[in-house]
Amino acid sequence: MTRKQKRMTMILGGLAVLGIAAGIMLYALSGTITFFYTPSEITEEKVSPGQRLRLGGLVEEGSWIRGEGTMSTFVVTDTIKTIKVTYNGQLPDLFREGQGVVAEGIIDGGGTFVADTVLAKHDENYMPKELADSLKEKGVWNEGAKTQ
Amino acid sequence: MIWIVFALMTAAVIAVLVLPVVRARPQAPDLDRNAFDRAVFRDQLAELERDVERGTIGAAEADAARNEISRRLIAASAMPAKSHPARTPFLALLAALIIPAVALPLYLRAGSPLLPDVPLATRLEKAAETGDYEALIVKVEQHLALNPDDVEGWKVLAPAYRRGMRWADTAEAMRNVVRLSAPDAGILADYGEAMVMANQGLVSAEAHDVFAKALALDAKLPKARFFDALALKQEGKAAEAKAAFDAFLAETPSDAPWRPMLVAEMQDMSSKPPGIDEQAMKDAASMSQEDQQAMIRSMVDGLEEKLKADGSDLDGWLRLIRARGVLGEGGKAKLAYDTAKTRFKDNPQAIAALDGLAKEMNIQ
Amino acid sequence: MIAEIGHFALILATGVALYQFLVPLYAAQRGDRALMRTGLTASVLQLALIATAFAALTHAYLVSDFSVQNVFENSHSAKPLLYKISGVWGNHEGSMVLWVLILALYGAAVAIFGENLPLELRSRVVAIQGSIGLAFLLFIVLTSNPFMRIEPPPIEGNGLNPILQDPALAFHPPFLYAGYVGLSIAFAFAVAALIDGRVDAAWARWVRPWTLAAWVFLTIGIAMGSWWAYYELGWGGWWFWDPVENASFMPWLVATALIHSAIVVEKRNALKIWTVLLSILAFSLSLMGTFLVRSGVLTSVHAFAVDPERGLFILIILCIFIGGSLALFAWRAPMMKAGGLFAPVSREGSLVMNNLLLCVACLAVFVGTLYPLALETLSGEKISVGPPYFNLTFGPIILPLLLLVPIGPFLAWKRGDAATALRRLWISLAVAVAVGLVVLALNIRGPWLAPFGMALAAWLVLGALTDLASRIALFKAPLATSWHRIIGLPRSAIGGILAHGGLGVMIAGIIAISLWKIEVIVALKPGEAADVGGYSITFIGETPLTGPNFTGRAGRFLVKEGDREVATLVSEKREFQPSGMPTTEVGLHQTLAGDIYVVMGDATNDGGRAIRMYFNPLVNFIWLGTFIMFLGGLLSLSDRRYRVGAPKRHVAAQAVPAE
Repeated sequence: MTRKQKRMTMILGGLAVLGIAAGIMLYALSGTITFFYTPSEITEEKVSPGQRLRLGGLVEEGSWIRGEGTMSTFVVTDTIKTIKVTYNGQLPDLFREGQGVVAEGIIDGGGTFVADTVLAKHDENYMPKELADSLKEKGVWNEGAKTQ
Repeated sequence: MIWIVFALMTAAVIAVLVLPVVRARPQAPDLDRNAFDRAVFRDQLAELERDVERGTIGAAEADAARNEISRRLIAASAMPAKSHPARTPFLALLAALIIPAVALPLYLRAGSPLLPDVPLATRLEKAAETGDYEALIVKVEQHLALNPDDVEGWKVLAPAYRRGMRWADTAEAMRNVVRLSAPDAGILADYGEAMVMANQGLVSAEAHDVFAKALALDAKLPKARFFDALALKQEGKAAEAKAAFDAFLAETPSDAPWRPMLVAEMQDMSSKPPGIDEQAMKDAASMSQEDQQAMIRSMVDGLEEKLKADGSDLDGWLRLIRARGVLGEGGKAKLAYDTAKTRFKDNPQAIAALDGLAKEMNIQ
Repeated sequence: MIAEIGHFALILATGVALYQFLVPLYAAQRGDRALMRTGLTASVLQLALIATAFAALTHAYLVSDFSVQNVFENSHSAKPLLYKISGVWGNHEGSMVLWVLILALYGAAVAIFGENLPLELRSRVVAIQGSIGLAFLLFIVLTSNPFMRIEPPPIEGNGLNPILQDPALAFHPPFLYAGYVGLSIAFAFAVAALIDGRVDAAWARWVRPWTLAAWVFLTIGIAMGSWWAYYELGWGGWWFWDPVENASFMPWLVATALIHSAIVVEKRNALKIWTVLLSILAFSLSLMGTFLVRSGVLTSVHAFAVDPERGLFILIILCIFIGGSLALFAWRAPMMKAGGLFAPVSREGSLVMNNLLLCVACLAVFVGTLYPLALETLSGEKISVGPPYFNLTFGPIILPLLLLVPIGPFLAWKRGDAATALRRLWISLAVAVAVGLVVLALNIRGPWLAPFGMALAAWLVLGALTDLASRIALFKAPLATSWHRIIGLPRSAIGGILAHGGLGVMIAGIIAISLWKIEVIVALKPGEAADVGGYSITFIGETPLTGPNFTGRAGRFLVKEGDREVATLVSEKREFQPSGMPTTEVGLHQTLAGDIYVVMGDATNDGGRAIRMYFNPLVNFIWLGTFIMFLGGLLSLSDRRYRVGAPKRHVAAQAVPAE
C-alpha cells in the first residue's frame, strides 16, 4: 500500500467506528431519556400511563404518610396542581415536607405516580435544576431565597 | 505599616525579575535547538543498547530501531546558532512595571488594608478591654461549658441574653441560676418571665408553677403576682384572675411602672362582658393599648430595627407580626406582614408560614 | 494583616501572571535569552505569591478569623482541625485558589525542571501557563475573591456542609485538581509547539511524563470521589454517571489516550499533529469540567457556586482558550511535517485504535452529559439522560478496546503480526475462556454478561502477566536470568503492565457488583433479622449519639454467617449543628469477597426502622484495580529516562564536527 492508501484506510476505519458509535448513541438516546414534568404539566399534557418520566415539585405539607413497612405515600405539588406519589423504599435523608423532590417512575391507570427512585435535594443549596427552573417560571421560587 | 509591606513585596518581585537582566553578561552563544533532540536520540540509543544487553529485544528489531534512531540523529544536525540581540534591561524594567500597574488598582478596588485580623482566640482574650459584647458572651458561655455549676457566670449571662432578646437562652440561663441558688422569689420570677417571653407571651403550666413558687416565698412580689394573675386569665379562670388583679391593683402605688400594664390587662378582661358603654370601652381599650405598647415598645421596636437592617430572619418577622397583632396594632402588623411577604416572595415556605400567621392573627 | 497580605499577594500574582504571559512570548520571538529567563523566574514568583495567599487563607481558617467573609461562610470554631483545613477548598472561592496554586506549581516545575527543553520552548510553555493563570486569577479577584472582609466581624461562622466533612472528600479535590490542572501542561506544550511550528523529539519526550503525572492524579482523584460516594451517600452505588463525575471522567479518557499517543510520538516520531490536538482537547475538557461544575449549569453535590456572573466569566475563559487554541491549530498544524510510517496492524496501529476508541467513548459521555443542556437551550424541553444511556453506549464502545488491550504490547513496531501475537497469548486466552465457562456453569440462569465479563477481566489480567513473563523470558531462560531481567526492566514497562492488569481487576469488580449485587429493603424492629447474600443480619437496637458538632442515633447490627459472628455494624443517622442538616453513616464490613453494607433508614409506624442492606460482591476490586493503575502510573513516572539532563554545552560543541 502506498502512503496515501494507508492513510485513507485509517481514516475510513476511523469514520466507520465513529459512524457505528453515533448510531449506538442515537439509538440509546431515543430509548433511555426520561422527560421531566411538573404536576401541572402532567395534567395538561396528558402523559400516557406507563410512560417513564421524572416528576418534580414540592412535597405538600402534611401529605406524607408512612404505610406498611417501607411504603410511603406523599403528594407532590407545584403550588398549582398536585399529584399523589407512592414509593416503596427508603426515602433520602433530606426528604422533608415542604421541600423540593424529584421522583422517577410511571403513572398508573388511576393517576397515581408510582416512583421507583426518589431524590431529595442534596444539601441546603441544592435544588434539581429542572425543578428550580419550572418553579421560577411560576414565580414561586428563586435562588436568592435561602431561609435557614 | 501594611503599605510598607506591600511596597516591599512589589519591589522584591520587580527586583527578582529585572536584576538578572541588568547584570547579564554579554550572552554566550547558546546551544542550537537540535542539540536537545540529539540528547534525546543518544539517550534512546543507550536505552536500546541496554535492552539488547538484557535480551528484551530481538536482534533484527534492535537493528531496525538503531538504524532509525541513527537516521534521526544525523538529520538533527547542528543548526547555526542565532545571533543574539542586545541586552534589554530597560525593556525588562518597563515590562515589570506592568505588575504594580495591574495590582494596585485591583487591590484598591477590593482590599481592606486597614482592617486588622480578628482571630477568634485573640478576640475572646481581649474582649474585656475592647468591650466586645458578643465576644464576652461567648467567653462566658465557654467558661460555663466547662464549669456548668458556676452560678455567677449564669447570672452574668442571663441579662446579656435578655439584652439581645434571646429569650430561650435567657430562660435556660435563668433555669441554671435557679438550680444553683438558694430559693429566691426574685430569681424565680425572672426565670418565669423569661419562659413567658420565650413562649411568645403565653404563661405555660410550667411557668405558672414557677410563679406559684415565687409567691410562696414572697406573696407580695409584683412581677410574680402579675404573671400569676395573667396565667389565671389565660387559663380561662376569669373570676379568679379578676380577683387576683383587683387585689394586686389595690396594693399597687399609683406611680409604679407596671401599673399601666396591669390596668391594660384588666381592661382587656373587663371589655369582654357585654353591657358596658361601647364608646368608653373603645376609648379605654385604645388608651390602654397605647400604654401596653409603651410597655413593650422598646422590645418590639428593637426587633423592627433589627429586621430593617437585616431582613433575612423569617422567625424575626413572624415574631414581629405576632407582637404587633397582640398589641392590637393591626396596621403595623399588616405593614410588617406586607414587607415580609415582599421580602420572601420567592420562598413558598416562608409565604406559607406568613399566611398561616396572618390568618391566625386575622390580618388581611 | 495576614489576611490582607494574602489578598495583596494574590493580586500581585495576577500582575506577575500578566508579565509571565507577555514577556516570554515576546522574548522567544526575538531570541532574547536573558528576557526569556525572566519568564521562568516569573513562574516561580507566581508560585511563591499564590502559596503566600493560600497560606494566609488557611491561617484565617485555622484561627477562625471570621472577619474574612469566606471563613465566616464556610467554617465554624467548633469544627475539627482536619475540616478547618479542608474547609479552605470546600467552597467555591477557596477551591479556585487551590486551582491556581496547583497551576502555578506545575508552571514553576516546568521552569525549574525543564533544563532538558530548548529555552524557547520552555519560555513559551511557561507563557501559556501564565495566560491560564492570568485568566483564573482575574476570575478569582473579580468574581470570587476569598479575601473579602466583614466589619464588624461576626462571632461565629456558618459551618461546612456536613456531607463534605469526610476524610476521603477532604483530599479528593486536591488530587482531582492536580489531575485537571496537570493537563494544562500538555496544553501549554501543544500551543507552544504550534507557535514554534515544530514538534521536537524533546517535546515528545517531555510532554509524556507531565501528562502521566496528571493522569496519575486524575485516576486517584476519581477513585477517591467514587469511594466517597459509595460509603457516604448511602445508596450502595459507586458510580452514578452524574454530570460532575462525567466532567472528571472525560478528561481522564482523553488523558489516557494522550499518554498512549505520546509513546508513538516519542518512539516513532509519528502521530505528532494528532497528539497536539489531543493535548488541546484534554485540557479543553478539563476547562469544560470546571465550567460545568462552577457555573451552576449543572447542579449537584459538588456545585458550590450557583452564580450566573461567574458562569459567564468562566464561559468566556473557556471560549478564549478552546477557541483560540483550536484556531491556532487549524492555522499552524498543516505546516508541521508528518512523521514515520506504519502498517495498520502494528504497535502504532493498536495505539491508534486505542486513541480512536477512547475518544469515541469520551464523545458518547460528552453527548450524554451535554445533550440535556443543549435540548433545553434549544427547545426548552427538559429531559434527563441517566445510567441506561451510558451503559448502552459506553459499554459497547469500550468493549473492543478492552479485548485489544492485551494484544497491543505483543505487536511489533511498524509492521506487526496479529497471528503471532495471539499465539503468544494462547494460554491467557484459553484460561480466560475457561473462567467464562466456569462462571457460566455456576451461574447458569444469571445474566449472559457475567461469564463474558469475568472472562474479559481474566483476559486482561493474564494478558498483562503474559507480557511480563515474555519480557523476562520466564520458563524459557533460567530463573536467575528472569530475575535479573525483572530487576533491569524499565520502570515504565512495569508501570504499563501494572496499569493494564489493574484495569482487569477493576473490570472484575465492576461486573460483579453490577450483576450480582444483592439489595434488601425491610422494616425491622429491634431483635428481628433478615438474610442478605448468605448472611443473617440482626437489628440489635439503637442508641443516642453525640459528636463534636452533631447529635443523632446509632443503630447496631449483628452480622452472622451460619452460627459464626462476622461483625457488628453501626449505621448512624446524624443531625449536624448549626444547620440541622441530617446525614446517614453507613455500616460497612469490607472483605475482598464483597462488602456487607447496612443503612438505617427512617422509623416506621410500628416502632421499627426501614433498613437497607446490600451485599456488594467483589466491590473492592474496583478500587484495588484503580490503585494498581495508580501505582503503575507512579512507577512509570519514576523511570530513569525522565531524569535525563540537559544536553551539555561541551558535548554539543564536540558533536558538531563528528556529525
